[in-house]
Amino acid sequence: MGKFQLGEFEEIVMLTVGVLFGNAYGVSIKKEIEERQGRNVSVGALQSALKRLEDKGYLTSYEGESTSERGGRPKRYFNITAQGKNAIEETRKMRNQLYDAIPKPALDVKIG
Amino acid sequence: MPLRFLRWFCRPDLLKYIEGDLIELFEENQTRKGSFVAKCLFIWEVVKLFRPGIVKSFGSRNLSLGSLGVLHVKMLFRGLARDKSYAVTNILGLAVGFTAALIIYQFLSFEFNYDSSYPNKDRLYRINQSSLRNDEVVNQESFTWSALGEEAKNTISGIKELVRVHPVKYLGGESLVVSNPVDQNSYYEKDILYVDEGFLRVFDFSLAFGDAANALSSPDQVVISREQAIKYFQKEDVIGEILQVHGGSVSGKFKVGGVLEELPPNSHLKFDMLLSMSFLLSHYGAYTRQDGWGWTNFAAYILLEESADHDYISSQLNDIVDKRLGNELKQSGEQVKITLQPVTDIHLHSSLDTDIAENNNELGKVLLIATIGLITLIIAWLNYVNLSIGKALTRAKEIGVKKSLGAFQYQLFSQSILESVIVHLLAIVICLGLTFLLSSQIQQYLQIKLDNAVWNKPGFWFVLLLVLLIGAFIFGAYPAFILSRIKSKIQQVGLFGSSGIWMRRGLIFTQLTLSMLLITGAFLVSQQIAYMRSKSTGVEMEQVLVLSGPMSLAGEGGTLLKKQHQLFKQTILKNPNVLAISGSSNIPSSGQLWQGNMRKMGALSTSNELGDAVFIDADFLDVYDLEIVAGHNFSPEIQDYEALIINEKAVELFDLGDPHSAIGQSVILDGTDTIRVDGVVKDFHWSSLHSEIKPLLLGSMRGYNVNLSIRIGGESIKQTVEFIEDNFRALYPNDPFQCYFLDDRFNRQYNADEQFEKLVSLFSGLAVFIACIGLFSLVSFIANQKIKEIGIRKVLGANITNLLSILSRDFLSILFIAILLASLISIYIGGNWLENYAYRIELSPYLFLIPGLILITITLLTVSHKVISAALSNPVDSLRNE
Repeated sequence: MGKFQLGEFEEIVMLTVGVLFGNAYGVSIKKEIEERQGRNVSVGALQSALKRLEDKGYLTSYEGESTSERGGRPKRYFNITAQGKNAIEETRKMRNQLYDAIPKPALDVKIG
Repeated sequence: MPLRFLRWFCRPDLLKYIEGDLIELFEENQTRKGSFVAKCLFIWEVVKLFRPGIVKSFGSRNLSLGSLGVLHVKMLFRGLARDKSYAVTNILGLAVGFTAALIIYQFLSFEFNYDSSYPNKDRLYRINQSSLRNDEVVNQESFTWSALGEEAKNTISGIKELVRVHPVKYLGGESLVVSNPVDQNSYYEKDILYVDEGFLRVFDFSLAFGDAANALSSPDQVVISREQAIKYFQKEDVIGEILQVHGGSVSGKFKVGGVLEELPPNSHLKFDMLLSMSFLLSHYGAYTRQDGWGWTNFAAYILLEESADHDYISSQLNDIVDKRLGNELKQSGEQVKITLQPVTDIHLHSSLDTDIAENNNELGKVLLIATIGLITLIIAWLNYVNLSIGKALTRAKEIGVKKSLGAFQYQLFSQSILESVIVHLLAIVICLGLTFLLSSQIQQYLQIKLDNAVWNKPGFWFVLLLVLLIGAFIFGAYPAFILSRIKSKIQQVGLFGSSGIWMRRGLIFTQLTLSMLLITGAFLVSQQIAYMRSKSTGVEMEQVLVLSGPMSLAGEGGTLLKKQHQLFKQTILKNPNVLAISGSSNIPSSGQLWQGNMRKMGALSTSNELGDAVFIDADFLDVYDLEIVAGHNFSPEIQDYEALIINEKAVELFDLGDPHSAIGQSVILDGTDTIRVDGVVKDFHWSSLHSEIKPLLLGSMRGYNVNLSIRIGGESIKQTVEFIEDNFRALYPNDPFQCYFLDDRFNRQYNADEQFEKLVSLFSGLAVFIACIGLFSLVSFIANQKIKEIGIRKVLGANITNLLSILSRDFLSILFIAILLASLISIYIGGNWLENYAYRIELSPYLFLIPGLILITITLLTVSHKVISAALSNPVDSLRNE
């Protein structure tokens, strides 16, 4: 199972890249995560996660257009690779399996 | 600037994308949360980017440090982390001191680079002119005759270019009215210069629109700044548009030939509109006569050929003056000397009576500020030494263990120096961050300009390196020395290091003395300003409203203007809240007065004196409530140039005896007009109390209404001003309405002093803050050292008061000696500083007592907690371990 390992944050980043399909670059990913998850993401954490994912072959990137509002710096867009797709699917499957394996009474929590 | 840091550590392949992201976020935050918060967030993001995966590989450099080095660094950080309060106070104290010094460095860099943006600055000179009488200099100015420039350019070889500059205020008023003839949108403009064609070329002021070579080539052209273009035409590219100038004989329509780029902020020439010199010379009456040898209202700048010798040129210039005016000058007993001054010297080094540059001769002030910066830096370093010694003593055990494990003295020494280097580096990083955050706030608060481009100058990085080296090695060396000398046997802190404690006392003493000096300085400055503001000027300035006079009706000998003024006066005087109105050429505090040679009738022309004159109508004395000591005011029907009212100083100057005998005598103005003295007024302050009251002539002139002064009364000032505005607009439809209260404007003359006061106060605050850190650490140290003694004393029955006095005796005596010494020094320095002011406060004990009390209060507050808790401690705790 160790083949497709994704950390919790890495998984979120992968999924968000998928959500933003075609428009996934640093700031948009950061905002999307912040909006959906309600947590703060630093540029540093995000960039190093993206770097790691790219090194693992789950993401590819290409250089986008440069706009004046970014001081002339180009954007770097990310896409999920086939391997990346396998990885999220694998993670999801594993999660579902685990969830399904929980005996029913364990989830039958009563309040009070 | 944080981007620089990022660029340094970031992997090059990721850099541009990360930068882009950061900039995008920053811009968004800036609009949403303001620039300060955005800057903070930006820095924080950059700091958080410093993580593996993003930091580039620095090669194998780290490994070469050697194992002991790595160990030292590790131990150092552990040590800092263990004693956080020590680490924070030590690094913060240094960082604050560095920040203060860095900001002052930026300020100095701005000041010393005045006029350094001109490409030919080394060959660019200004003509200065001195008048001498009996070999004694009576007047120095940056202005000369228009014809001197003309002739010099044509006859002297070695002059590549010569341009003359004439500020608009020398036309008698302070400003001209300029309007856009299409929509009649009009404003008063005071920063207009009349310049020769080569002006833009010589100074290399560049144009945003238009061609610099032809922008001023014909007399009917005008060059304006971007702001002016937007003000008049609501767009930037306005080449070929028409501006109408109203100002008597210099009125006319002008075509925009160029739009200026922003001027370098440290240029001594300030302007936002340029008109043609040839237009001025051919249209302004006074300048068309006497072949241009009548008036010295022209600043002249000379660009020399590369091979030219400036001594030769200036002697040639003097020859021209000699040839043209030699006889005339000899008759009046006057000599004129022309000198050339490098333009780069104008801002800091020139002290002329009249100068085209507004803020000059600032070297003294700038050096004083540099000293303050240096003092703050030194205090920070002394504090560092002080804290480090304290630290060294408590680390005796660690050293002892290391020594017994075989560490050499030099190893311990180098470890300590390494620590010093790292602490300095951290402090510098914090300092750069603080400066980046605070510089715009500080510029706003202190009203000073900082050189924000210092980052790009190699000199800056050199100085920074120097500071690091001096700080880390010299100020790190003493604690390192103490530390490495600690004997290998495990020491008891209390027994050893008496030299250390004396050293620390000395350091604290120096810090406190310097702090006291700064506090006293700040207090002295504020007292002097309060004194100048509160001293009566002899002029009633409250509730005097000043309007800029109408200009569009000038011409026709001023008859129309006089008629309209009568009408305006009658109309507004119907309002019971308008008490009096007067028209005059100048108002109190307005700097440039009519200036000329004058003498008593009957005296020889060699007894000519240079005097100032203002032209007023019969209501002037009423509006300003000036007291007549002899004679009488002008009658309302007085003719122009018919009579004079002079002040007491002028009676003295012209040798007219006492005020009563002066009445009826006459004064000759500039060898042409002879005017009768009708009255003598008590001396009053025309301008700020920086300068003495000067001899002043008030000449009669109706309708010369450059300024209209209106005394108003009653409660509803706002309605009264609106009433005046309505009537002004009705009677002078082509003139803009511009008004201010005289006391506001008069007090603006103290702005520079107030700015200086703020600066000294701010930095003395910082110095005291740093000194308090040191003091706190010293007192903690003493308290720890004496904890057993106190315990024993307590057991033997000493009371709290005794204990308090034992604990605080030490630093109180240091404090008092410091205050005493600082007071003595500031008597000397303060006395010198006050010499700059014609009217100044006396040095009195309370000037030192109050700052002393402030310092005592602050220090007591700092140490009281520590002292009291030590005195109250339970003797059982402190004695149990024995």
